[in-house]
Amino acid sequence: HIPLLSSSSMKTSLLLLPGWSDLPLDLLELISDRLSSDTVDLLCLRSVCATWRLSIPPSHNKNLLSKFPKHLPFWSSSSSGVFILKESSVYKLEAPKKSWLVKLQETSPGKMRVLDLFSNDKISFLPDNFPEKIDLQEFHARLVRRAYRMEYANNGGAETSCFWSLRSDKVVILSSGEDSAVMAIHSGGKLGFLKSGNYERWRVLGDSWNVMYDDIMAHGENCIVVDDKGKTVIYDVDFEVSDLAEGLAGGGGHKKHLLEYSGGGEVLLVDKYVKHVWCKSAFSKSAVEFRVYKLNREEKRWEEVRELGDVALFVGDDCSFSVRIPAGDLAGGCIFYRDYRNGGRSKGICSNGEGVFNVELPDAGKSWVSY
Amino acid sequence: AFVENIPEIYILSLLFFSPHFLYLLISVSVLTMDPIPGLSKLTVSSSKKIVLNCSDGKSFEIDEAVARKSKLIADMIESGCDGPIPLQNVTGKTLEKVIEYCKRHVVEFGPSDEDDEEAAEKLAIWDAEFIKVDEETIFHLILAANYLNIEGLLSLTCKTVADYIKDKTPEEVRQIFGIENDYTPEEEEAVRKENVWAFDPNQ
Repeated sequence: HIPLLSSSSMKTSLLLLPGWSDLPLDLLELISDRLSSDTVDLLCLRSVCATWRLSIPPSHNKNLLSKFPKHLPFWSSSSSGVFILKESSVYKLEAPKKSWLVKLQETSPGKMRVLDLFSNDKISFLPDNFPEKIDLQEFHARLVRRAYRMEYANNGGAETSCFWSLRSDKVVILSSGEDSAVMAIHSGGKLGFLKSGNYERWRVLGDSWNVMYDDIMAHGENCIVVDDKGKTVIYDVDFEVSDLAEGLAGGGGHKKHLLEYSGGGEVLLVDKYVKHVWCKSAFSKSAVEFRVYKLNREEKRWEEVRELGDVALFVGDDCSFSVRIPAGDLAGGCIFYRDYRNGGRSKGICSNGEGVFNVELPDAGKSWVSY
Repeated sequence: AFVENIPEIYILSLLFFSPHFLYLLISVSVLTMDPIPGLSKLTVSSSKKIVLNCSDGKSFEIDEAVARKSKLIADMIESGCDGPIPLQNVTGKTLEKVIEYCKRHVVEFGPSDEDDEEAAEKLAIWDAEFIKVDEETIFHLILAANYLNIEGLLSLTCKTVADYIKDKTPEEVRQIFGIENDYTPEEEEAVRKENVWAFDPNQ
């Protein structure tokens, strides 16, 4: 323990009472450890005053990716390619008059590549009123969610997305103390994992042959997994598994997405139904509907949610999340997703009050950066 | 009750005739003298008081169990420190608050409480109310918890400060904690550069 000011300096500095900038180094470290998951908060801490700036190193080496090797093996050992882990983050950027919801990937310190909110496509055309640069000392950048994915690279080093190898390129990183692990869903719908200390080969979690997994999600230090019938389990970093919820009656819809409810530890399930309607004209039409469920941990089942209140859900390929919307904004209570039927434009739909979300919201995309 | 009903004459006569009963007699007498072994010791130590003297002359008398929440004080007691313990680095006002924390965290904690979710929740709610103080008090609490080596209090105070800082800009943090911007112009420029995010759609 670093002793406090000696009694002599206490007497002479009656006007200069010990203040926060004199906080002992080890205590400042304890505080910054609790902020270490958010690089923006650490940057803020570093920028407050000269003494703190000296005590807190730049945070670029603290992220989770540094726990893993640069290249991860491909699914099959015969391939000549590798997987590279990538991180992107969804931020809510708040200026006095305008807020933006963006997904960013830091390509080099301070340089942000803007990605589509619902997938990993790069956005080439930013909206007109979107700033070219922002000063984090003026803008609030609040971290909404971190997302990890694997990009395939052949041995020539070129990065290409290789969708056929992965059902979703979404990856969950589990980390507890010294241990870490990576989980992903293989294109066959099976769960694969890599554990720290053994990065040679993916292992598939033993399961019955007809179980297909739809989505995985990081929840604290653990990973929640849902299959295509809605049965949900949770894995910890040692791959101990426990049941969270039984499947939905009749299996539910076509694609399931897991979400964390804004700020809290609650888990939501968004079930997407694509209905095909045959019409008199030559073309068939399809309609997309969603049903939302909340996890009832005690009874181990999914309970339907009729309305979302002031929260909006964003359902994406590699990352789904929720944000609180200020009261009165139309976006409150809606689900936003990328609709691949209409050239991939993002859409927002609201509940009709009866628990089914299918009333379309105009003006989707006004204050977030997406297609 | 079994023991009390046996008249002494029987015990005496059995004593003559069997070594086993001698053993029984001795163990019985030990039992009657001290019904639950060790209880007398326990009662004595839990009422032992420790006196703490602060830097500004104030004095506090607290139960040893409460004082032992501080590893510093516990170590002092272990190494035979008798009499009042001087705490140069803590004022009376701060120590009073620290003692409040220690009292609450000692009384409620028992072998069964670890698994009791309800008790843990209640404790968490108490902690949240306890720490609703101004930033100057928290500053002194962090330093005191560090000096006295009270893990729970240190953790609570650090987390509270981290929560204050979370999602704020540097200027906001300066205002909350009364810190001055003491950068030289060169440092100011370096800080500004570090805080820029450039969005380049061509990357």
